[in-house]
Amino acid sequence: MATVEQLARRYAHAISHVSNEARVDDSSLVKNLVAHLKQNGRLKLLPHIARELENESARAQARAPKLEVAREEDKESAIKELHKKNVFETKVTVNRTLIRGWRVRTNNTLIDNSAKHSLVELYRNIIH
Amino acid sequence: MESIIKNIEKEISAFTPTENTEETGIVRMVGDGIAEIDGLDKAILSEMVLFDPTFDRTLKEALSDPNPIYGLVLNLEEDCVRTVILGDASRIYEGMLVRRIGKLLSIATGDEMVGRVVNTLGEPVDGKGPISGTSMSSIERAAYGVIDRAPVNVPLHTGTKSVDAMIPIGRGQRELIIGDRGTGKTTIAIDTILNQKNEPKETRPICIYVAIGQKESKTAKLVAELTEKGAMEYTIVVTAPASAPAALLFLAPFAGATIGEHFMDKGKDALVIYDDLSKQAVAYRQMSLLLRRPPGREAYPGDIFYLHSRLLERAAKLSDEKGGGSLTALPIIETQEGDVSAYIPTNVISITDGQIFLQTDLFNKGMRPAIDVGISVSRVGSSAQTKAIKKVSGKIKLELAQFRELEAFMQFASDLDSETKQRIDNGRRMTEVLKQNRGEPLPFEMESAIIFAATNGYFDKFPPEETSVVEKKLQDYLRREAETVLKTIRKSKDISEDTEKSLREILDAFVTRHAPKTESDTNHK
Repeated sequence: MATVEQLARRYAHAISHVSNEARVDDSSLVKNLVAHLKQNGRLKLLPHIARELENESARAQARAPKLEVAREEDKESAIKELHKKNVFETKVTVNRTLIRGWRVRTNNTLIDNSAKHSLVELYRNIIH
Repeated sequence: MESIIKNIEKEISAFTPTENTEETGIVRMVGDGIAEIDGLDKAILSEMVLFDPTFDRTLKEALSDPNPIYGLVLNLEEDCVRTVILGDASRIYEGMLVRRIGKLLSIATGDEMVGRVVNTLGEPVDGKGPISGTSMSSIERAAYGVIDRAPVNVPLHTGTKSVDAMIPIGRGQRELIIGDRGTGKTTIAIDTILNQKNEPKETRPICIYVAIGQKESKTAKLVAELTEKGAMEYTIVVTAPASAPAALLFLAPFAGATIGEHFMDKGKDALVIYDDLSKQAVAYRQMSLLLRRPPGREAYPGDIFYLHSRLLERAAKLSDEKGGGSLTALPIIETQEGDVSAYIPTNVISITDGQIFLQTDLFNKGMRPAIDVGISVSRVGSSAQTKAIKKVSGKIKLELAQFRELEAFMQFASDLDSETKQRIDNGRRMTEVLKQNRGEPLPFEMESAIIFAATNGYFDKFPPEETSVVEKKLQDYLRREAETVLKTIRKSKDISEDTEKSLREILDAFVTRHAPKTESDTNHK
């Protein structure tokens, strides 16, 4: 038997899927959802579903492509590189801790092209 | 000089880091040694992941704490993976980057590990520096199949008279040592390790002692004892102390088996002692409950049997085509109030090829080792028993069984007929002969000679209560006077007619010299 959290998570997952893929109007989607919950005696799930949707949106934001470059002047070359990899919509920020190069995290993939990463790896290999 | 600096600066500015693509996830929740990770959609079960503390820090901060923490994927769920943290969980935080490294949990194995104390991950913890010449082996591996195995027919001498005589263990066997706390389970295991020193170097098994959930002071004491007695030359200690995370406790026996398999695969013999699997089961239960797996009997998860069976099934005697190596397993189980019908004891009893049962009552009566020979069995060891011991120990089990039946009548000793009295006395003598002090394992030739003396009535001329003392004297006497006979037994692994004749002569001489003079003897003189 599924717990309240599990049920809410499943509803939230279905709603976000429908909203993204089927491009259904949000207000009618919510109206239909409430009607469905009422009909099934599950209206109490509504706040839990809202919380799960918030979590999902936070997760989606975290998964959104994020490009970090070490210097402003690296921006263009990094974006070019990303285009080659079919990554187009990216939020670009300057992160001086990278020292040189750039890194991008999109969905579950990280492409690390930074000097910091290379230096840390080098340090680990020498020390251990 | 300036040009050199300029050139270096030029090189730095021209530096293009190599591209590195990885699959990553983010820690969503962490607690009780478990981390819930968002992402890692392609993660596989038992895969290692790396929690990277350097990702969102400056280089300076990253280099001050660069060590990654490993995790083990144990639950694959709809929207996340759950991992156990194999290290300091306090360094893991929400939002931390986790990288997939695409490897199943592996540990370092190699010949250089002999003589070392390592943790569950194969890292040295004895302060003797790194271990070189190791290679990585996955700790989960399918056991060898029927075709690759050979029958168990080579003995593994424990140096404990009662075990070698009545519950013999063969190389490649799985023999459970079971009993309440403080009944001498570890002692039998350690004596077995110590006794391997009596074996020739070329056939001496490499011993792996896996300490699960024990006090570190106890493990340190044990290592000191093994070192002092020269047993660390062929021993590896894997330690997962009580203070270690539950995941390391549950994985420790698998690490021990993996190290043992390294030697088995090279055609050598290995002996692995799991001390003890009850604590491993408890650690696995703790982890499973934290991973929200449904609890079953005694709150253990449903796959607890599989956990132990897949571990113990890795013990094997390989066929000659596979190199002929072997891995013998001596798992230890601690019972509560002698209850062998509890969940874990019954499981492990059914998996293993026999059990050595230790009783608190016997221990309190001064019987050391406190083995209850009535319910201890070895299902495959008898075909591996050395001929010499087999020849002399045939009658012991029967004699002891008869003695136990008659033991109740001992208090009416004066009213008993002479035959019953004789049986009781023989039983008492045999019980005394089988007593053995901790840390004093005997080579099998000495065991055979002593059991030969006991079963052939050489102790009958001594009062039963003095048997222990006489047995010690006999050991010294044999070491002094019967060197050639003992050497012959060791070499031939048998007691031939000639050897038996010489042994009888030596034993007769011993009895004549040490037996108390009877009244008639004194009067005659």
